[in-house]
Amino acid sequence: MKFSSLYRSFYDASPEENGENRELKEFIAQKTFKKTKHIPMNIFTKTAFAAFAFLVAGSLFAPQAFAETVKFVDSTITVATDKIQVLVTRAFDKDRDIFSDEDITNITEDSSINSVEYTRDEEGEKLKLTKECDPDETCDFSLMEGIEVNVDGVDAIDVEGSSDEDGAMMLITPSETNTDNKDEEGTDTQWFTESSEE
Amino acid sequence: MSQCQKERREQFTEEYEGLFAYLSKYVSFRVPHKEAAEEVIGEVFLYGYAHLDHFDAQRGTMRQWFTGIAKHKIGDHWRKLRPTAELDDALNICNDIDHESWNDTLDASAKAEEILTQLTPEMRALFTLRYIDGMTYEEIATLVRKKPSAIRTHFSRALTRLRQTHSL
Repeated sequence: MKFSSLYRSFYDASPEENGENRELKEFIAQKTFKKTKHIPMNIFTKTAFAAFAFLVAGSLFAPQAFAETVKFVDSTITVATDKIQVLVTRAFDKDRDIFSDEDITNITEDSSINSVEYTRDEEGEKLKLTKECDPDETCDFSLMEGIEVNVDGVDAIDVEGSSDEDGAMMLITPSETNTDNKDEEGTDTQWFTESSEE
Repeated sequence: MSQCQKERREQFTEEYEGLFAYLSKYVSFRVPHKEAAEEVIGEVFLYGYAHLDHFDAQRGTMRQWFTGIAKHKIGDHWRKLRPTAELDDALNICNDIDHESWNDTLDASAKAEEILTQLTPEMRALFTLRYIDGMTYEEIATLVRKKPSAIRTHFSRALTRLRQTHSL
């Protein structure tokens, strides 16, 4: 008998149910034909969470959710201060993230930005990008060209930068090409000033 | 709910016990690690139940239909995984190892069953895909997102390790 045959014998002889899956079995029964049994919390929680995550992911990644893509154009400011910050703010659907964890990670890893802070409050979501600089040297802040952030309901955002003795200023301008799905508050465009003395 | 749908759900209810036992084994022998296997099993049933309308008794049994779903879900499981290491980077074991000769040796060993029981989940999955499902090294490699040479190396290494461990 070859090893392959031996393994088949082992497989055939293995019990079909080892009993350890009883919780899962009951959970599935509950989810399907409404079999009423006690469902242990651990398996219920785990599977329910997986199902919820699946539903959320499904809604987020449905084709229509990819309708818009935000692009940071290559934007560089030069300023001789101890740090430069970029603040991207968008007040819109508070139930959705503008920036996914992956996007933030990519921004952090692919650019010279030292830190990325993502906050969420009543106004909406903010992404603060910070680069620490040597006060004695020229400091460039450059958002990598091609960084893309998938959002729902927001089109391209142009980031323009300038600086003066007070610090760096960034103008966040949502694209005019897409006005669909914008909320009642409209697009949040603002100037952001970061003083070098702060 | 149509009469047809009702009948399918009744059939599912009747066959559930047997289906669960069969699919639990089917999945757990092909997906390493208990928790991952449980998730796949759950996905198979929940998907199958939600799509019972697609089941056609003229084309096969409900077990066969669910087996097809399980195959797809197992494939999905492997696709989601990212290889943590390239097996090719490890020792370069000759892929032309003479399996046949020492297969016979292994067969002759009284320890065979004990050895197979102690297989790691990963190796059990590979053996199942190879010897139960009859997949080639290339097909297994495609499924688990490794290079065929890496799979061959994995088999060679596992068999060699078994032989050394059990003095075969």
